[in-house]
Amino acid sequence: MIVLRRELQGGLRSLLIWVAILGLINALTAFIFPSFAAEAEQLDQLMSLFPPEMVKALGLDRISMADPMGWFATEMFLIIALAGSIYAALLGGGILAKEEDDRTIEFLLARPICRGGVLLQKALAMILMLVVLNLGLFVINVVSYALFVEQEYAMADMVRLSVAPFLLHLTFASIAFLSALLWSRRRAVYGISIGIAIGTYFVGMISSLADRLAWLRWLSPYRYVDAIDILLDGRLQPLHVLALLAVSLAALALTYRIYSRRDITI
Amino acid sequence: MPAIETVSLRKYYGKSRGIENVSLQVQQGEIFGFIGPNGAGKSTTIRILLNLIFPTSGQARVLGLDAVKDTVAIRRQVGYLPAEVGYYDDMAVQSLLDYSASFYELDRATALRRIGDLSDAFELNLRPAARTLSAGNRRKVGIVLALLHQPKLLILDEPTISLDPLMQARLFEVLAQENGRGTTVFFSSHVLSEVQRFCHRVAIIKDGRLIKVEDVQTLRSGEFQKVKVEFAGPAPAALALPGIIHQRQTELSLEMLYKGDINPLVRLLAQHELVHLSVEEPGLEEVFMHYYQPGGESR
Repeated sequence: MIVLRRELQGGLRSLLIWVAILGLINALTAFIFPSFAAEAEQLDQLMSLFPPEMVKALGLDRISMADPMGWFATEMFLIIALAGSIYAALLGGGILAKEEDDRTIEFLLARPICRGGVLLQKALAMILMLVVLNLGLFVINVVSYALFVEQEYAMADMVRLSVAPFLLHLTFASIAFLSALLWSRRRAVYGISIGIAIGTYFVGMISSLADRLAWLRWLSPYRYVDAIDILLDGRLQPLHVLALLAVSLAALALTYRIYSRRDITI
Repeated sequence: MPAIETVSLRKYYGKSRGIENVSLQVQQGEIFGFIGPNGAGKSTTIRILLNLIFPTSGQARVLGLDAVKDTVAIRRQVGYLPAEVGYYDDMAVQSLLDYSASFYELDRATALRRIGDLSDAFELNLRPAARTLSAGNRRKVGIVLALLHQPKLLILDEPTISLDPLMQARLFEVLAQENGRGTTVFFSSHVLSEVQRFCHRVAIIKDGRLIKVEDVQTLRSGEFQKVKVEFAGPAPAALALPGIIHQRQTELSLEMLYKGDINPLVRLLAQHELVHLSVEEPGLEEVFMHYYQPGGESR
Protein backbone atom coordinates (compact mmCIF):
# COMPACT_ATOMS: atom_id res chain seq x y z
CA MET A 1 0.00 0.00 0.00
CA ILE A 2 2.97 2.26 -0.62
CA VAL A 3 1.38 4.03 -3.56
CA LEU A 4 -1.87 4.50 -1.65
CA ARG A 5 -0.04 6.14 1.24
CA ARG A 6 1.87 8.40 -1.10
CA GLU A 7 -1.29 9.47 -2.94
CA LEU A 8 -3.02 10.29 0.32
CA GLN A 9 -0.05 12.31 1.52
CA GLY A 10 0.24 14.08 -1.79
CA GLY A 11 -3.49 14.83 -2.05
CA LEU A 12 -4.07 15.85 1.55
CA ARG A 13 -3.41 19.55 1.13
CA SER A 14 -5.72 20.08 -1.78
CA LEU A 15 -8.39 17.93 -0.10
CA LEU A 16 -8.26 20.03 3.05
CA ILE A 17 -8.52 23.22 1.03
CA TRP A 18 -11.61 21.95 -0.76
CA VAL A 19 -13.24 20.82 2.49
CA ALA A 20 -12.44 24.17 4.10
CA ILE A 21 -13.79 26.31 1.26
CA LEU A 22 -16.92 24.28 0.57
CA GLY A 23 -17.46 23.93 4.32
CA LEU A 24 -17.19 27.68 4.75
CA ILE A 25 -19.68 28.35 1.96
CA ASN A 26 -22.09 25.83 3.48
CA ALA A 27 -21.71 27.28 6.97
CA LEU A 28 -22.48 30.76 5.62
CA THR A 29 -25.48 29.39 3.77
CA ALA A 30 -26.75 27.84 7.01
CA PHE A 31 -26.07 31.13 8.76
CA ILE A 32 -28.38 33.13 6.48
CA PHE A 33 -31.18 30.54 6.58
CA PRO A 34 -33.01 31.99 9.61
CA SER A 35 -33.42 35.40 7.98
CA PHE A 36 -34.81 33.74 4.85
CA ALA A 37 -37.16 31.50 6.80
CA ALA A 38 -38.49 34.48 8.74
CA GLU A 39 -39.65 36.00 5.49
CA ALA A 40 -41.13 32.76 4.19
CA GLU A 41 -44.30 34.42 2.89
CA GLN A 42 -42.41 37.00 0.89
CA LEU A 43 -40.17 34.25 -0.42
CA ASP A 44 -43.18 32.37 -1.73
CA GLN A 45 -44.48 35.55 -3.33
CA LEU A 46 -41.13 36.10 -4.93
CA MET A 47 -41.27 32.60 -6.36
CA SER A 48 -44.63 33.27 -7.98
CA LEU A 49 -42.97 36.04 -10.01
CA PHE A 50 -40.66 33.57 -11.71
CA PRO A 51 -41.82 31.66 -14.78
CA PRO A 52 -43.42 28.41 -13.62
CA GLU A 53 -41.06 26.35 -15.81
CA MET A 54 -38.11 27.73 -13.98
CA VAL A 55 -39.62 27.16 -10.58
CA LYS A 56 -40.30 23.61 -11.68
CA ALA A 57 -36.80 23.14 -13.01
CA LEU A 58 -35.44 24.08 -9.62
CA GLY A 59 -37.98 21.82 -7.93
CA LEU A 60 -39.38 24.72 -5.90
CA ASP A 61 -42.96 23.78 -6.73
CA ARG A 62 -42.56 20.69 -4.62
CA ILE A 63 -40.66 21.95 -1.65
CA SER A 64 -40.34 25.06 0.48
CA MET A 65 -37.06 26.85 0.93
CA ALA A 66 -38.30 28.00 4.30
CA ASP A 67 -38.00 24.43 5.56
CA PRO A 68 -34.52 23.56 6.92
CA MET A 69 -34.16 20.50 4.69
CA GLY A 70 -35.77 22.30 1.76
CA TRP A 71 -33.10 24.94 2.17
CA PHE A 72 -30.41 22.29 2.39
CA ALA A 73 -31.70 20.48 -0.69
CA THR A 74 -31.87 23.60 -2.85
CA GLU A 75 -28.77 25.43 -1.65
CA MET A 76 -26.12 23.40 0.12
CA PHE A 77 -26.74 20.17 -1.70
CA LEU A 78 -26.20 21.99 -4.98
CA ILE A 79 -22.87 23.40 -3.81
CA ILE A 80 -21.62 20.04 -2.61
CA ALA A 81 -22.89 18.19 -5.66
CA LEU A 82 -21.59 20.59 -8.27
CA ALA A 83 -18.35 21.93 -6.75
CA GLY A 84 -17.56 18.53 -5.28
CA SER A 85 -17.96 16.95 -8.70
CA ILE A 86 -15.37 19.35 -10.07
CA TYR A 87 -13.00 18.30 -7.29
CA ALA A 88 -13.78 14.66 -8.09
CA ALA A 89 -13.08 15.21 -11.79
CA LEU A 90 -9.74 16.88 -11.02
CA LEU A 91 -8.83 14.15 -8.53
CA GLY A 92 -9.75 11.22 -10.72
CA GLY A 93 -8.30 12.79 -13.84
CA GLY A 94 -5.00 13.76 -12.28
CA ILE A 95 -4.19 10.79 -10.10
CA LEU A 96 -3.25 8.58 -13.05
CA ALA A 97 -2.43 11.12 -15.76
CA LYS A 98 0.16 12.91 -13.67
CA GLU A 99 2.48 9.90 -13.71
CA GLU A 100 2.70 9.93 -17.48
CA ASP A 101 2.58 13.71 -17.72
CA ASP A 102 5.50 14.11 -15.32
CA ARG A 103 7.27 11.08 -16.76
CA THR A 104 7.37 9.43 -13.36
CA ILE A 105 5.57 6.35 -14.60
CA GLU A 106 8.81 4.71 -15.67
CA PHE A 107 10.16 5.22 -12.20
CA LEU A 108 7.05 3.73 -10.65
CA LEU A 109 6.72 0.74 -12.97
CA ALA A 110 10.38 -0.18 -12.54
CA ARG A 111 9.63 -0.89 -8.86
CA PRO A 112 8.25 -4.32 -7.98
CA ILE A 113 4.60 -3.47 -8.43
CA CYS A 114 2.18 -4.55 -11.11
CA ARG A 115 0.00 -2.19 -13.06
CA GLY A 116 -3.11 -3.58 -11.43
CA GLY A 117 -1.60 -2.78 -8.06
CA VAL A 118 -0.87 0.78 -9.09
CA LEU A 119 -4.42 1.21 -10.35
CA LEU A 120 -6.04 -0.41 -7.35
CA GLN A 121 -4.10 1.71 -4.88
CA LYS A 122 -4.76 4.89 -6.81
CA ALA A 123 -8.48 4.10 -7.09
CA LEU A 124 -8.61 3.36 -3.36
CA ALA A 125 -6.84 6.61 -2.56
CA MET A 126 -9.30 8.45 -4.76
CA ILE A 127 -12.34 6.85 -3.10
CA LEU A 128 -10.93 7.47 0.38
CA MET A 129 -10.40 11.14 -0.40
CA LEU A 130 -13.96 11.45 -1.67
CA VAL A 131 -15.19 9.84 1.55
CA VAL A 132 -13.18 12.31 3.59
CA LEU A 133 -14.52 15.24 1.55
CA ASN A 134 -18.12 14.20 2.08
CA LEU A 135 -17.67 13.17 5.68
CA GLY A 136 -15.93 16.46 6.43
CA LEU A 137 -18.72 18.45 4.81
CA PHE A 138 -21.34 16.37 6.63
CA VAL A 139 -19.78 17.19 9.99
CA ILE A 140 -19.50 20.88 9.11
CA ASN A 141 -23.14 20.94 7.98
CA VAL A 142 -24.44 19.22 11.11
CA VAL A 143 -22.48 21.60 13.30
CA SER A 144 -23.62 24.65 11.31
CA TYR A 145 -27.25 23.56 11.57
CA ALA A 146 -26.85 23.04 15.30
CA LEU A 147 -25.43 26.55 15.60
CA PHE A 148 -27.62 28.56 13.25
CA VAL A 149 -30.87 26.68 12.58
CA GLU A 150 -33.46 26.57 15.32
CA GLN A 151 -36.16 24.53 13.59
CA GLU A 152 -36.26 20.78 13.96
CA TYR A 153 -35.13 18.66 11.05
CA ALA A 154 -34.76 14.93 10.43
CA MET A 155 -31.17 13.74 10.74
CA ALA A 156 -32.04 10.86 8.42
CA ASP A 157 -32.74 13.36 5.66
CA MET A 158 -29.44 15.08 6.31
CA VAL A 159 -27.63 11.74 6.12
CA ARG A 160 -29.36 10.79 2.86
CA LEU A 161 -28.58 14.16 1.33
CA SER A 162 -24.95 13.74 2.37
CA VAL A 163 -24.56 10.25 0.94
CA ALA A 164 -26.08 11.22 -2.41
CA PRO A 165 -23.30 13.67 -3.44
CA PHE A 166 -20.72 11.03 -2.64
CA LEU A 167 -22.30 8.76 -5.25
CA LEU A 168 -22.11 11.61 -7.77
CA HIS A 169 -18.49 12.32 -6.91
CA LEU A 170 -17.60 8.66 -7.21
CA THR A 171 -19.21 8.52 -10.65
CA PHE A 172 -17.44 11.59 -12.00
CA ALA A 173 -14.10 10.62 -10.46
CA SER A 174 -14.30 7.16 -12.04
CA ILE A 175 -15.16 8.58 -15.44
CA ALA A 176 -12.23 11.00 -15.12
CA PHE A 177 -10.01 8.08 -14.08
CA LEU A 178 -10.90 6.31 -17.30
CA SER A 179 -10.52 9.40 -19.45
CA ALA A 180 -6.94 9.74 -18.19
CA LEU A 181 -6.13 6.72 -20.34
CA LEU A 182 -7.69 8.18 -23.44
CA TRP A 183 -6.00 11.57 -23.16
CA SER A 184 -2.83 11.19 -21.19
CA ARG A 185 -2.09 14.93 -21.11
CA ARG A 186 -3.42 16.22 -17.84
CA ARG A 187 -4.85 19.44 -19.19
CA ALA A 188 -6.97 17.59 -21.73
CA VAL A 189 -8.15 15.14 -19.07
CA TYR A 190 -9.15 17.98 -16.73
CA GLY A 191 -11.03 19.74 -19.51
CA ILE A 192 -12.96 16.66 -20.54
CA SER A 193 -13.83 15.46 -17.07
CA ILE A 194 -14.84 18.86 -15.70
CA GLY A 195 -16.84 19.33 -18.89
CA ILE A 196 -18.69 16.10 -18.15
CA ALA A 197 -19.30 17.07 -14.51
CA ILE A 198 -20.76 20.47 -15.40
CA GLY A 199 -22.33 19.55 -18.73
CA THR A 200 -24.41 16.73 -17.30
CA TYR A 201 -25.71 19.11 -14.64
CA PHE A 202 -27.17 21.36 -17.31
CA VAL A 203 -28.49 18.37 -19.21
CA GLY A 204 -30.34 17.47 -16.02
CA MET A 205 -31.75 21.01 -15.74
CA ILE A 206 -32.91 21.06 -19.33
CA SER A 207 -34.60 17.68 -18.96
CA SER A 208 -36.96 19.08 -16.36
CA LEU A 209 -37.77 22.22 -18.37
CA ALA A 210 -39.62 20.50 -21.16
CA ASP A 211 -41.55 17.25 -21.06
CA ARG A 212 -40.34 16.48 -24.57
CA LEU A 213 -36.80 16.36 -23.24
CA ALA A 214 -37.62 14.42 -20.10
CA TRP A 215 -35.74 11.38 -21.37
CA LEU A 216 -32.53 13.42 -21.14
CA ARG A 217 -32.62 13.06 -17.38
CA TRP A 218 -31.23 9.57 -17.66
CA LEU A 219 -28.04 11.02 -19.10
CA SER A 220 -27.45 13.18 -16.06
CA PRO A 221 -26.05 11.52 -12.93
CA TYR A 222 -27.43 14.47 -10.95
CA ARG A 223 -30.98 13.38 -11.67
CA TYR A 224 -30.32 9.93 -10.25
CA VAL A 225 -29.83 11.50 -6.84
CA ASP A 226 -32.16 14.48 -7.06
CA ALA A 227 -32.22 16.07 -3.61
CA ILE A 228 -35.92 16.98 -3.73
CA ASP A 229 -36.91 13.50 -4.91
CA ILE A 230 -34.88 12.04 -2.06
CA LEU A 231 -36.61 14.30 0.47
CA LEU A 232 -40.11 13.58 -0.85
CA ASP A 233 -39.50 9.82 -1.26
CA GLY A 234 -37.78 9.60 2.09
CA ARG A 235 -35.10 7.42 0.53
CA LEU A 236 -32.55 7.12 -2.25
CA GLN A 237 -33.96 5.06 -5.11
CA PRO A 238 -32.04 1.78 -4.89
CA LEU A 239 -32.07 1.37 -8.67
CA HIS A 240 -30.59 4.84 -9.13
CA VAL A 241 -27.89 4.17 -6.56
CA LEU A 242 -27.14 0.91 -8.28
CA ALA A 243 -26.92 2.64 -11.64
CA LEU A 244 -24.35 5.16 -10.41
CA LEU A 245 -22.32 2.44 -8.70
CA ALA A 246 -22.47 0.35 -11.85
CA VAL A 247 -21.20 3.21 -14.01
CA SER A 248 -18.35 3.82 -11.56
CA LEU A 249 -17.44 0.18 -11.38
CA ALA A 250 -17.60 -0.19 -15.15
CA ALA A 251 -15.33 2.82 -15.65
CA LEU A 252 -12.81 1.47 -13.13
CA ALA A 253 -12.94 -2.03 -14.60
CA LEU A 254 -12.47 -0.70 -18.12
CA THR A 255 -9.53 1.37 -16.92
CA TYR A 256 -7.98 -1.77 -15.47
CA ARG A 257 -8.54 -3.69 -18.68
CA ILE A 258 -7.01 -1.05 -20.91
CA TYR A 259 -4.20 -0.16 -18.56
CA SER A 260 -2.95 -3.69 -18.02
CA ARG A 261 -2.44 -4.18 -21.73
CA ARG A 262 -1.26 -0.92 -23.02
CA ASP A 263 2.19 0.34 -23.90
CA ILE A 264 3.59 3.01 -21.64
CA THR A 265 4.96 5.61 -23.99
CA ILE A 266 6.12 8.95 -22.71
CA MET B 1 19.91 -19.75 -17.22
CA PRO B 2 20.81 -16.59 -19.14
CA ALA B 3 20.23 -13.23 -17.43
CA ILE B 4 18.43 -11.98 -20.51
CA GLU B 5 17.10 -14.04 -23.36
CA THR B 6 14.98 -12.83 -26.23
CA VAL B 7 13.68 -15.02 -29.02
CA SER B 8 12.59 -13.44 -32.31
CA LEU B 9 11.44 -10.39 -30.43
CA ARG B 10 9.45 -8.01 -32.57
CA LYS B 11 7.76 -4.73 -31.76
CA TYR B 12 5.73 -2.48 -33.99
CA TYR B 13 4.12 0.77 -32.88
CA GLY B 14 1.16 0.67 -35.17
CA LYS B 15 2.85 0.47 -38.52
CA SER B 16 6.16 1.94 -37.52
CA ARG B 17 8.97 -0.42 -36.75
CA GLY B 18 10.40 -0.71 -33.26
CA ILE B 19 12.49 -3.85 -33.48
CA GLU B 20 12.46 -6.81 -35.79
CA ASN B 21 13.43 -10.38 -34.96
CA VAL B 22 15.81 -9.62 -32.10
CA SER B 23 17.28 -12.78 -30.57
CA LEU B 24 19.75 -12.07 -27.85
CA GLN B 25 21.36 -13.89 -24.95
CA VAL B 26 23.11 -12.21 -22.07
CA GLN B 27 24.82 -14.58 -19.65
CA GLN B 28 24.80 -14.04 -15.90
CA GLY B 29 27.84 -12.19 -14.65
CA GLU B 30 28.51 -10.47 -17.95
CA ILE B 31 28.93 -6.81 -18.68
CA PHE B 32 27.07 -6.56 -21.92
CA GLY B 33 26.97 -3.53 -24.19
CA PHE B 34 24.11 -2.80 -26.50
CA ILE B 35 25.12 -0.28 -29.11
CA GLY B 36 23.42 1.39 -31.97
CA PRO B 37 22.55 4.83 -33.28
CA ASN B 38 19.50 6.75 -32.06
CA GLY B 39 16.25 5.16 -33.06
CA ALA B 40 17.84 1.77 -33.67
CA GLY B 41 15.61 0.02 -31.14
CA LYS B 42 17.77 -0.06 -28.02
CA SER B 43 15.18 1.52 -25.74
CA THR B 44 12.39 -0.50 -27.33
CA THR B 45 14.19 -3.75 -26.48
CA ILE B 46 14.95 -2.59 -22.95
CA ARG B 47 11.41 -1.37 -22.32
CA ILE B 48 10.05 -4.75 -23.35
CA LEU B 49 12.28 -6.42 -20.75
CA LEU B 50 10.68 -4.25 -18.06
CA ASN B 51 7.18 -4.79 -19.52
CA LEU B 52 6.66 -1.09 -20.03
CA ILE B 53 5.65 -2.04 -23.56
CA PHE B 54 4.37 -5.31 -24.89
CA PRO B 55 6.11 -7.27 -27.66
CA THR B 56 4.19 -7.62 -30.90
CA SER B 57 5.53 -11.14 -31.18
CA GLY B 58 8.39 -13.20 -29.86
CA GLN B 59 9.47 -13.85 -26.31
CA ALA B 60 11.62 -12.24 -23.70
CA ARG B 61 12.86 -13.83 -20.51
CA VAL B 62 14.71 -12.06 -17.75
CA LEU B 63 16.50 -14.15 -15.12
CA GLY B 64 14.50 -17.10 -16.37
CA LEU B 65 11.19 -15.30 -15.89
CA ASP B 66 8.70 -14.33 -18.58
CA ALA B 67 8.84 -10.60 -19.25
CA VAL B 68 5.08 -10.28 -19.64
CA LYS B 69 3.76 -12.73 -17.04
CA ASP B 70 6.32 -12.46 -14.25
CA THR B 71 6.88 -8.72 -14.36
CA VAL B 72 6.80 -8.10 -10.63
CA ALA B 73 9.29 -10.87 -9.85
CA ILE B 74 11.57 -9.48 -12.55
CA ARG B 75 11.32 -5.93 -11.28
CA ARG B 76 12.22 -7.11 -7.80
CA GLN B 77 15.62 -8.31 -9.03
CA VAL B 78 16.35 -5.72 -11.68
CA GLY B 79 17.70 -2.20 -11.37
CA TYR B 80 16.57 -0.06 -14.28
CA LEU B 81 17.79 3.30 -15.43
CA PRO B 82 15.46 4.78 -18.06
CA ALA B 83 16.85 6.92 -20.86
CA GLU B 84 14.78 9.79 -19.61
CA VAL B 85 13.00 9.96 -16.32
CA GLY B 86 10.88 12.46 -14.45
CA TYR B 87 10.74 12.79 -10.71
CA TYR B 88 7.91 13.78 -8.39
CA ASP B 89 7.91 17.53 -7.97
CA ASP B 90 7.31 17.46 -4.24
CA MET B 91 10.16 15.10 -3.36
CA ALA B 92 13.71 15.83 -2.29
CA VAL B 93 16.34 13.39 -3.54
CA GLN B 94 16.45 11.78 -0.11
CA SER B 95 12.71 11.14 0.04
CA LEU B 96 12.71 9.86 -3.53
CA LEU B 97 15.39 7.33 -2.60
CA ASP B 98 13.49 6.39 0.56
CA TYR B 99 10.30 6.01 -1.44
CA SER B 100 12.06 3.73 -3.89
CA ALA B 101 13.66 1.67 -1.10
CA SER B 102 10.25 1.13 0.49
CA PHE B 103 9.19 -0.97 -2.51
CA TYR B 104 11.89 -3.56 -1.90
CA GLU B 105 12.48 -6.00 0.90
CA LEU B 106 15.29 -3.90 2.22
CA ASP B 107 15.81 -3.20 5.87
CA ARG B 108 16.13 0.43 6.88
CA ALA B 109 19.76 0.21 8.01
CA THR B 110 20.93 -1.43 4.79
CA ALA B 111 18.99 1.06 2.71
CA LEU B 112 20.49 4.01 4.56
CA ARG B 113 24.01 2.66 4.28
CA ARG B 114 23.56 1.97 0.61
CA ILE B 115 22.13 5.44 -0.04
CA GLY B 116 25.07 6.92 1.85
CA ASP B 117 27.68 4.90 -0.08
CA LEU B 118 26.19 5.58 -3.48
CA SER B 119 25.56 9.27 -2.95
CA ASP B 120 29.16 9.62 -1.76
CA ALA B 121 30.46 7.74 -4.79
CA PHE B 122 28.53 9.98 -7.16
CA GLU B 123 28.91 13.16 -5.08
CA LEU B 124 25.18 13.57 -4.93
CA ASN B 125 23.51 16.08 -2.65
CA LEU B 126 20.39 14.52 -1.13
CA ARG B 127 18.66 17.69 -0.01
CA PRO B 128 17.42 19.50 -3.13
CA ALA B 129 14.18 18.63 -4.89
CA ALA B 130 14.94 15.96 -7.47
CA ARG B 131 13.11 17.80 -10.19
CA THR B 132 15.12 20.98 -9.95
CA LEU B 133 18.47 19.24 -10.47
CA SER B 134 20.68 19.66 -13.51
CA ALA B 135 20.57 16.96 -16.16
CA GLY B 136 23.78 15.39 -14.89
CA ASN B 137 22.57 15.27 -11.30
CA ARG B 138 19.19 13.88 -12.32
CA ARG B 139 21.08 11.16 -14.12
CA LYS B 140 23.05 10.41 -10.98
CA VAL B 141 19.82 10.13 -9.00
CA GLY B 142 18.59 7.66 -11.61
CA ILE B 143 21.77 5.63 -11.31
CA VAL B 144 21.56 5.53 -7.52
CA LEU B 145 17.89 4.49 -7.81
CA ALA B 146 18.88 1.63 -10.10
CA LEU B 147 21.66 0.42 -7.81
CA LEU B 148 20.00 1.00 -4.45
CA HIS B 149 18.39 -2.38 -3.86
CA GLN B 150 21.42 -4.40 -4.99
CA PRO B 151 19.72 -5.97 -7.98
CA LYS B 152 20.94 -9.14 -9.65
CA LEU B 153 20.69 -7.51 -13.03
CA LEU B 154 21.25 -3.89 -14.00
CA ILE B 155 19.57 -2.62 -17.14
CA LEU B 156 20.85 0.83 -17.95
CA ASP B 157 19.61 2.83 -20.91
CA GLU B 158 22.41 5.16 -22.03
CA PRO B 159 23.81 5.60 -18.52
CA THR B 160 26.64 7.98 -19.41
CA ILE B 161 24.48 10.60 -21.10
CA SER B 162 24.92 14.03 -19.50
CA LEU B 163 27.58 12.78 -17.07
CA ASP B 164 30.93 14.53 -17.15
CA PRO B 165 33.99 12.36 -17.95
CA LEU B 166 34.95 12.09 -14.29
CA MET B 167 31.52 10.80 -13.37
CA GLN B 168 31.48 8.46 -16.34
CA ALA B 169 34.69 6.92 -15.05
CA ARG B 170 33.21 6.75 -11.54
CA LEU B 171 30.11 5.05 -12.92
CA PHE B 172 32.14 2.35 -14.61
CA GLU B 173 34.18 1.84 -11.44
CA VAL B 174 31.00 1.28 -9.48
CA LEU B 175 29.58 -0.98 -12.19
CA ALA B 176 32.80 -3.02 -12.17
CA GLN B 177 32.47 -3.37 -8.39
CA GLU B 178 28.88 -4.52 -8.66
CA ASN B 179 29.86 -6.89 -11.43
CA GLY B 180 32.57 -8.28 -9.17
CA ARG B 181 29.80 -9.22 -6.71
CA GLY B 182 28.03 -11.14 -9.44
CA THR B 183 25.69 -8.51 -10.80
CA THR B 184 25.01 -8.77 -14.51
CA VAL B 185 25.22 -5.41 -16.28
CA PHE B 186 23.36 -4.73 -19.50
CA PHE B 187 23.67 -1.23 -20.85
CA SER B 188 22.96 0.59 -24.05
CA SER B 189 25.17 3.22 -25.58
CA HIS B 190 26.03 4.89 -28.80
CA VAL B 191 29.62 5.48 -27.81
CA LEU B 192 31.79 2.67 -29.09
CA SER B 193 34.83 3.44 -26.97
CA GLU B 194 33.07 3.09 -23.60
CA VAL B 195 31.50 -0.12 -24.70
CA GLN B 196 34.85 -1.42 -25.89
CA ARG B 197 36.53 -0.56 -22.63
CA PHE B 198 34.03 -2.01 -20.19
CA CYS B 199 32.10 -4.80 -21.81
CA HIS B 200 32.76 -8.45 -22.23
CA ARG B 201 30.43 -8.73 -25.15
CA VAL B 202 28.63 -6.34 -27.42
CA ALA B 203 25.49 -6.47 -29.50
CA ILE B 204 25.08 -4.05 -32.37
CA ILE B 205 21.60 -3.03 -33.38
CA LYS B 206 20.61 -0.93 -36.34
CA ASP B 207 17.23 -0.16 -37.85
CA GLY B 208 15.60 -2.50 -35.39
CA ARG B 209 17.67 -5.51 -36.28
CA LEU B 210 20.48 -7.13 -34.39
CA ILE B 211 23.42 -7.00 -36.75
CA LYS B 212 26.08 -8.64 -34.71
CA VAL B 213 26.84 -10.02 -31.29
CA GLU B 214 30.54 -10.09 -30.71
CA ASP B 215 33.15 -10.64 -28.11
CA VAL B 216 34.65 -7.28 -27.31
CA GLN B 217 38.16 -8.61 -27.89
CA THR B 218 37.50 -8.61 -31.62
CA LEU B 219 36.02 -5.14 -31.57
CA ARG B 220 38.78 -3.82 -29.39
CA SER B 221 40.36 -0.55 -30.14
CA GLY B 222 42.94 -0.98 -32.92
CA GLU B 223 41.06 -3.79 -34.53
CA PHE B 224 39.37 -1.37 -36.87
CA GLN B 225 41.19 1.65 -38.18
CA LYS B 226 40.09 4.43 -40.36
CA VAL B 227 42.85 5.22 -42.83
CA LYS B 228 43.00 8.33 -44.98
CA VAL B 229 45.68 8.65 -47.62
CA GLU B 230 46.49 11.54 -49.94
CA PHE B 231 48.71 10.62 -52.85
CA ALA B 232 51.25 12.88 -54.51
CA GLY B 233 50.25 11.60 -57.92
CA PRO B 234 46.97 10.17 -59.12
CA ALA B 235 45.63 7.59 -56.71
CA PRO B 236 46.26 4.01 -57.70
CA ALA B 237 43.36 1.80 -58.62
CA ALA B 238 41.69 0.17 -55.64
CA LEU B 239 44.20 -1.37 -53.26
CA ALA B 240 43.87 -5.07 -52.81
CA LEU B 241 44.48 -6.38 -49.30
CA PRO B 242 42.26 -8.74 -47.33
CA GLY B 243 41.98 -6.28 -44.38
CA ILE B 244 40.58 -3.47 -46.47
CA ILE B 245 36.91 -2.99 -46.05
CA HIS B 246 34.84 -0.37 -47.72
CA GLN B 247 37.25 1.92 -49.54
CA ARG B 248 36.27 5.19 -51.10
CA GLN B 249 38.36 6.84 -53.74
CA THR B 250 38.66 10.31 -55.14
CA GLU B 251 41.22 11.55 -57.67
CA LEU B 252 44.07 12.04 -55.24
CA SER B 253 42.93 10.38 -52.07
CA LEU B 254 41.71 7.20 -50.59
CA GLU B 255 39.64 6.56 -47.49
CA MET B 256 39.15 3.13 -46.07
CA LEU B 257 38.16 1.10 -43.09
CA TYR B 258 40.88 -1.36 -42.26
CA LYS B 259 40.69 -4.45 -40.12
CA GLY B 260 43.57 -6.54 -38.84
CA ASP B 261 47.35 -6.28 -38.82
CA ILE B 262 48.41 -2.82 -39.96
CA ASN B 263 51.88 -3.84 -41.29
CA PRO B 264 50.89 -5.22 -44.70
CA LEU B 265 48.98 -1.99 -45.35
CA VAL B 266 51.95 0.15 -44.36
CA ARG B 267 54.19 -1.84 -46.72
CA LEU B 268 51.67 -1.50 -49.51
CA LEU B 269 51.37 2.26 -49.02
CA ALA B 270 55.14 2.64 -48.88
CA GLN B 271 55.24 1.87 -52.58
CA HIS B 272 53.47 5.17 -53.27
CA GLU B 273 54.46 8.79 -52.82
CA LEU B 274 52.17 10.23 -50.13
CA VAL B 275 51.28 13.78 -49.13
CA HIS B 276 49.30 12.94 -46.05
CA LEU B 277 48.42 9.87 -44.04
CA SER B 278 46.13 9.58 -41.05
CA VAL B 279 45.15 6.53 -39.08
CA GLU B 280 42.43 6.96 -36.53
CA GLU B 281 39.85 5.03 -34.60
CA PRO B 282 36.71 4.81 -36.65
CA GLY B 283 33.44 6.19 -35.40
CA LEU B 284 30.71 3.83 -34.47
CA GLU B 285 28.82 4.74 -37.61
CA GLU B 286 31.65 3.51 -39.76
CA VAL B 287 31.88 0.21 -37.99
CA PHE B 288 28.14 -0.07 -38.39
CA MET B 289 28.48 0.67 -42.06
CA HIS B 290 30.81 -2.25 -42.30
CA TYR B 291 28.40 -4.60 -40.62
CA TYR B 292 25.49 -3.11 -42.38
CA GLN B 293 26.67 -3.39 -45.93
CA PRO B 294 25.02 -6.27 -47.69
CA GLY B 295 28.42 -7.53 -48.90
CA GLY B 296 30.16 -6.72 -45.62
CA GLU B 297 31.04 -9.25 -43.03
CA SER B 298 27.93 -10.36 -41.29
CA ARG B 299 27.27 -13.31 -39.18
